[in-house]
Amino acid sequence: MKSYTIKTNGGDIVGAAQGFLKSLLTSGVISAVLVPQEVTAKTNFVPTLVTDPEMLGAANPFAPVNGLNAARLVANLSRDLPEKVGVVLRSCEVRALVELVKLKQAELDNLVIIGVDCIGTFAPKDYAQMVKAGQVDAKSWASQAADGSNPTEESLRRACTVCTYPEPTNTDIVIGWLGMNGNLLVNAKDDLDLSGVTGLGQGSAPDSRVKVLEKLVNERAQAKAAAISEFRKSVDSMDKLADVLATCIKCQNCRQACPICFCRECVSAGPIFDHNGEKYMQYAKRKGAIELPTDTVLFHLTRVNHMGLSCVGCGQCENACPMDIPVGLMFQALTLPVQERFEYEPGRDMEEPLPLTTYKEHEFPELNTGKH
Amino acid sequence: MAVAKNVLQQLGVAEERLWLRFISASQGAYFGEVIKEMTNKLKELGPNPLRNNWEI
Repeated sequence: MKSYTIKTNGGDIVGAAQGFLKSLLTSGVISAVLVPQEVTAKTNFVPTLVTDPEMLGAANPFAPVNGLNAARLVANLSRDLPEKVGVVLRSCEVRALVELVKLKQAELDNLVIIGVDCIGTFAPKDYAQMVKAGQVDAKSWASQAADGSNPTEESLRRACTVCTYPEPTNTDIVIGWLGMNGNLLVNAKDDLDLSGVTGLGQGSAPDSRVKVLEKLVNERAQAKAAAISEFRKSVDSMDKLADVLATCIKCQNCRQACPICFCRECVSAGPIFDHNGEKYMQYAKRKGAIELPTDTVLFHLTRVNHMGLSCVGCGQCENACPMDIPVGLMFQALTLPVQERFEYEPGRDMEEPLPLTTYKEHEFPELNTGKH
Repeated sequence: MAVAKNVLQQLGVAEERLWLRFISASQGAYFGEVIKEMTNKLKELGPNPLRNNWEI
């Protein structure tokens, strides 16, 4: 790994990052870059695919808002991609992308993954309000939050407050701003030729960065353990789970927002869940009364079983829920023990095989309690 | 199976309600035995308490 620093002009971190991305384009390292840009109304940032270096004026890879997990977009972009494209992603997006690569939904061949530091984002609706009220300034966010703390009064998305991955891994390039005292750190893989890129000075991660990252990871790990144990108590019986999911209208927004749920034909939209009059009457007669729509709990349990092992905890499901059900936390609480049981951490390693696609002759013998 | 069992356990579903037995096509007698065993166990456990819950 090669390390560089970019000295900023009077602390203009966003300007320095734009300059770096622009130089990646003009020097030919990449032909295009996928990067969040501020919308004209300034109330949101959306991913844009930029080929013209002059059209990066509103780009800000550090803005504290992301309305979607861009991994799914990148997966679509990556298939049959004819040229090198840099994709600027946060840790949760890179980790989801790693899972999508393993699920054969994305190809890395022409992707240059550019990871950026992140201490968390605001829900888009909160962010828009904050912009209108003048409570947040996307341009100075990376300077104000460089010590790892949220400089505003508003809470970050819940998933972010328990995220232990401020610095992304499995990237070709990392652009770091945490603990960098107003400058930028660029870590690049050795096989990436950045000799034509301007503005890169020698330098590596200072102690201040190491400390900020360490502190964040520790604090977040504690917060995560506390949130999960509290939530677990609230769902330790099916009745209590039904209580948590009581307001679910089965809109399936959580599935739509999930970067891992890539299936074009989800089982929950297929014939298994698509009942007719005869079936409804059969259910109703058997139980005396049934709730409609049916299978809300089953829908969530099916999702846990299908993508739980690859759930990276990005929390976009929770943001997409119109009923404010803590689905993200529910998934984390239900899937962590499963991930631990398989000693699998989603997004950790490109090479680590997916547990459910690996056959081992002798595994979990305790589950088969009959004769062999 | 490991995933389903783990998830249901956390949600307070009795573990003995979910079974896994490996039975090959040539083990007809063993298949019969297991079904008998399962039927007896089910009679002992009684109906699933969740069945009366119209919400699930």
